[in-house]
Amino acid sequence: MNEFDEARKMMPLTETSFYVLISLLEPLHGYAIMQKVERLSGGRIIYGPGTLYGALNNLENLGLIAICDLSVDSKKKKTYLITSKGKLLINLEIKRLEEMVKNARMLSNEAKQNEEV
Amino acid sequence: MNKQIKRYFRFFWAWNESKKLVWLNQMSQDGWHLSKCNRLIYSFTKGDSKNLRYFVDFRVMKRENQAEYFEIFKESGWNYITNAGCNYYFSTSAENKHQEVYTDNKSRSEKYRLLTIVHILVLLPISYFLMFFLHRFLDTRPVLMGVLLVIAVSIDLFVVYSLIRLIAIISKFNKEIKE
Repeated sequence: MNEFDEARKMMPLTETSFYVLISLLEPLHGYAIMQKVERLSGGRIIYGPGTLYGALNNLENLGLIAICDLSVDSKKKKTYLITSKGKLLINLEIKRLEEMVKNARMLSNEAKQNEEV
Repeated sequence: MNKQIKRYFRFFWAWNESKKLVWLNQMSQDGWHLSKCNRLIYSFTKGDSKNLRYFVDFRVMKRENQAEYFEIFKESGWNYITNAGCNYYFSTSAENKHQEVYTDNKSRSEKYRLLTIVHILVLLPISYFLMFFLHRFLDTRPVLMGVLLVIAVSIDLFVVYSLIRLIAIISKFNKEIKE
């Protein structure tokens, strides 16, 4: 099974996985990921430490993120980065989500127009 | 200055975790803070009265990963106290902005799923081991056989009951998981 098929099997991503994955397009460690997602979501998503640790474990086991050892402190603050498999998955997810949003907007507009008639 | 230490012998069912957390919180408000836990024996040291919130996480993890695990909790304001096997005890102050350790149902559900699997893996072999012994003593020691049979059946019933309670919790979380 090639990388493409493996990635498609993991779709759709949960909101948690999706946000952690896109945050790791740049190297980051634990709490910094939490802060970044909180900012990106306008305060809507605030991860608890248990949820975050579990998400990082899962994504690493699936080969979507990997540890990149940069700092001296790396044992405590492991820095993660998205893998090529993860980037592939994100691109597929972007296409899927764009399609969904496009269709939802289109149908909402049609419904509105039909109401006005 | 002598630090006073109190020890309590308590048992809590795995699905009744909130009772344990409420008890630990009340102890802290009385000035007794959890320092060690050895499955059934909880040790507390005397200090100022604090409104500490406690949490027990269940994780099977290698020692080399523990440093990162504790660090993520620490950065969220949760301090590691001790662990009893795979049960990790944390506390935080009531003022901490991160009051929830698990913030989505998927991860809450995963914790209980792991707990359930470990329950089965640990308890069933014990009952089968006892059954195996029963087979040997069938003719020679009826009284011993009777006792072991009662114990083995009790363990099996407990396993079934635990599974029902834990699976009920898991399905409650799973129902609320949005895709």
